[in-house]
Amino acid sequence: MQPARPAPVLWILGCLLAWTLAWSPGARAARNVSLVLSDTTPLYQEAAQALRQELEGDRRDWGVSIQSLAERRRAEAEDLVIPLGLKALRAVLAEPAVTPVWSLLVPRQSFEHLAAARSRPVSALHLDQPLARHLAMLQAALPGTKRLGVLLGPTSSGLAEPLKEAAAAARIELSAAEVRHPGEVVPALERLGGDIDSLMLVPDPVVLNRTTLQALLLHTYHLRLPVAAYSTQLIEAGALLALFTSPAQIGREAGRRLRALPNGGALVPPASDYPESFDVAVNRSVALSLDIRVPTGDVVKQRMLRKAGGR
Amino acid sequence: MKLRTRAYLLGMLPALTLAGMLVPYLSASRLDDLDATLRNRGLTLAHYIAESAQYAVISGNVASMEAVLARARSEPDVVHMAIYRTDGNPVVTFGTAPAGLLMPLREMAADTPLHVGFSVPVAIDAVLAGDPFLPDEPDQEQVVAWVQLTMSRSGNERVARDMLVSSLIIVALGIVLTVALVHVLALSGVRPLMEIIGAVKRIGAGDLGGRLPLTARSELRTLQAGINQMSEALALSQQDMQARIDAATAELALQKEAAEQANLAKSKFLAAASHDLRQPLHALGLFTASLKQLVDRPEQRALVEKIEASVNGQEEMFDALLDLSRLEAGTLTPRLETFALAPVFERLARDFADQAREKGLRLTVRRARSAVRSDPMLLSRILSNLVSNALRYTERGGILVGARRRGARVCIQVWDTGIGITPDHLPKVFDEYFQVDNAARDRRRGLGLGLNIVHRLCALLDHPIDVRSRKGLGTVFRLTLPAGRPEDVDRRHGRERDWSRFDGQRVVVVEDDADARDALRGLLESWNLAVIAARGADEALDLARATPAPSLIISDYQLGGGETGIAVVRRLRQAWGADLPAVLVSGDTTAESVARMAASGLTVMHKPVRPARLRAWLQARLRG
Repeated sequence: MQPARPAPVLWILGCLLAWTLAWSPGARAARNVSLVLSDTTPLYQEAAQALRQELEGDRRDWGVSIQSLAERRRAEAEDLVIPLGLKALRAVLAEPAVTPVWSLLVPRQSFEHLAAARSRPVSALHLDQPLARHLAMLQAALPGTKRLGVLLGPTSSGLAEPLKEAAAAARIELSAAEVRHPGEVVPALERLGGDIDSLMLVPDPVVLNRTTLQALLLHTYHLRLPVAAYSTQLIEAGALLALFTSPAQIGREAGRRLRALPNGGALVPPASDYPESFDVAVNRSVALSLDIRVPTGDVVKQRMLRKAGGR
Repeated sequence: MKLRTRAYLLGMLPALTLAGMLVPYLSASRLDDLDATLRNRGLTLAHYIAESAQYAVISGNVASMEAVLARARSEPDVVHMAIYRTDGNPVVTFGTAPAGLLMPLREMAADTPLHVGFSVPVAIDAVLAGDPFLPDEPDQEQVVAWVQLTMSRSGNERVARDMLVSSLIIVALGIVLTVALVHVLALSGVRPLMEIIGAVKRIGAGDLGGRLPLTARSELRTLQAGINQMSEALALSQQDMQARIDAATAELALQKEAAEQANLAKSKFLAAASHDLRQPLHALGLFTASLKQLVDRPEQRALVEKIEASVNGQEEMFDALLDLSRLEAGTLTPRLETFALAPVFERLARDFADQAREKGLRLTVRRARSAVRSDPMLLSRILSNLVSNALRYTERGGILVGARRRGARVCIQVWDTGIGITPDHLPKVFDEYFQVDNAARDRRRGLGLGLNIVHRLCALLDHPIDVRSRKGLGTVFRLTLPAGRPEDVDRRHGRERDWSRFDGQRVVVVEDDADARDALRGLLESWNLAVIAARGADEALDLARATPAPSLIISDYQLGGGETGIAVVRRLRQAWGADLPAVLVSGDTTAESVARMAASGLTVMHKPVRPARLRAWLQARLRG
């Protein structure tokens, strides 16, 4: 005869009961965050994963659900909806809900255009960088830049004044050319051509799209103009410099900002802001082609950080 | 199938089969590869043009587009290139689009047997794909123009054709190589075997002289050596056998020569003996015949008749020997004529009546009505021999001779109630010197030549003869001869002459032997003939000079002084006339003399001449 002992099944059942009680609604203080991705491209996936990882490190409980726009199912217990990308933002804002919305990976101009006159709480961690940071990058990478050109389209026309101020602050002469449709890009650049040392690109669908990009960049080569841009895609397309925050950086920074929110009460998303983290990329091939000496992206970034810290 | 053919088939069939399968497969495969390459090139070129012309299209730079096409033009097989706007209007064109190749403005490839065409879009590069700064990303590239390009397949076909020709040349070379290899490697291995086969065939055909070279390195070498040994052994054996055959042939030739010599000696002896014996016997017969004319008293006459019978017996034996000599010499030529059998039968009955009576036998010769075609003298001889033979072997009972017409033939039968012949002796009865139940050679039974002569004469006359007999009951000989028409019968036969009609007729007798001459003179004179007897031609001419021409010449053949009867008759005929009847009497039975006498055309009688025969001849020649 074997000695009597508790059956293993009873142990397992006991463990399951304990786990269920621990996760029961009455027992939690979790905050449910729904991440809605514009699509399943790596851009949004990276950002979403980085965000979730950041939140997993928090001692508070975060219920993070990641879903693409196509499979979006609005949960009842959503404390915060985070749309990633313009499409997701547009779709989420169209939802009949009052859940707070915190937009990620959307340019400031576009966000402000969509978020205007919304009743539900909407804020954003912008995709683009503050103008002063752009100028700081230019000064760190191309210290000799005195006259800066910029093409402003219908969307970016609002930047004319802030740009002027920022340039003035950086003691750079700014020449802005207005572009109303893509066909005016090349002529506008030709008008600016001889008066500027470098060209700064700002997001504007009319000025910079797939149709205009090649022609624009080819013309800058003809004019031997270094181009400072705002995304890695533009570096790949032929820009000399780019200032950007990577999707992973955005995700991590968003996570940090959520963790920094105060405990208790309804979840209020952080106020709209530019990202703090950034990177600088330099296209060495373009630099060689234009015979321009440019430090590496990391060096530029360090110079920018040093200058900002020194202030 | 020959070994050589098999070897070639073994070598060539796999190669040919492989070539037959590989050439089409490789050609097709090569053509597929070339086609795939052509397609790749065409598609790549079209994409290259589309990408190269992208900016030119965007900026509407026609010169730049033309420059792009001009660069692509250097590519082989390109027959047509064009850049179309999205509305279908061509912007730039090179070459002419082949008829039948329809390509709408969408991304596609089109095929005809001779061409392959490609249609690819000129699209805005998706360089800003995924750029979150762009508000509405298009899902796909933006097509701003279309590039269409056509490649010709003629180059491929030329290459495939060249390859096919090359393949066939290689296959042909392969076959030549295979044949050479089969010849050198395979057939060199079997060559010794083929040589062996050839050698065996030659040996089979009787050529034992050839030797095989020991060329093989395998077990065939043993076989080659064995064949050579066998060939040598066969040659030796053949030589040995040939030598034995030669020796045996030589021995046979010697024996044949000896036999011929012996036969010649026998013939010479017979001829000489008969000549020497004939003379006295001839004279004896003639004397006896003369004596018979002279005696009157019955007891004397009986005595003379006994002497005459003995002489006749001897004469018969001589006749038989003579006949045999003549038959052997081949000088006996039958004189065929048509004649009635009746006189022949009558004479037969008369000749043998006494002999039969003496033995107490009944000789019955049926009356014959038929005419036959034969030689009467020879037929008489045949029948005489048969009757004589029957009398000889019959001791009681009788002999019956009869003739019966059988269609176009006449069948003569000679029956006897003699001792008969056993079946085992029957085939031998026609042999020389064969006598039934006469191992002791009783001379009273003759020489045993009678039936042999009968047989030979029948063969000469072409009269079939057969014999049937039962031991102790008797024997029957049946002779078959052609029937003759009665109207063809020569009426001279059978006429008896009157002795008195010879009166006054003169006969010249030339005979060198005095006894024979006297005997013949006595006989002829007893027949009332006047005889002029002489030793030779000269004497005869001298004696006859003073007298009128004789009626007939009887001359011995072999006279003294080397003179022959033929020359005597010629000389006497010169003196008295060429148509003077003459008869040669000869005891010379040598083949040469017999042939010479036959060639002279003269009547020949051989010694001993039977008086009856001589008388018959005289009766026929002397006119009454």
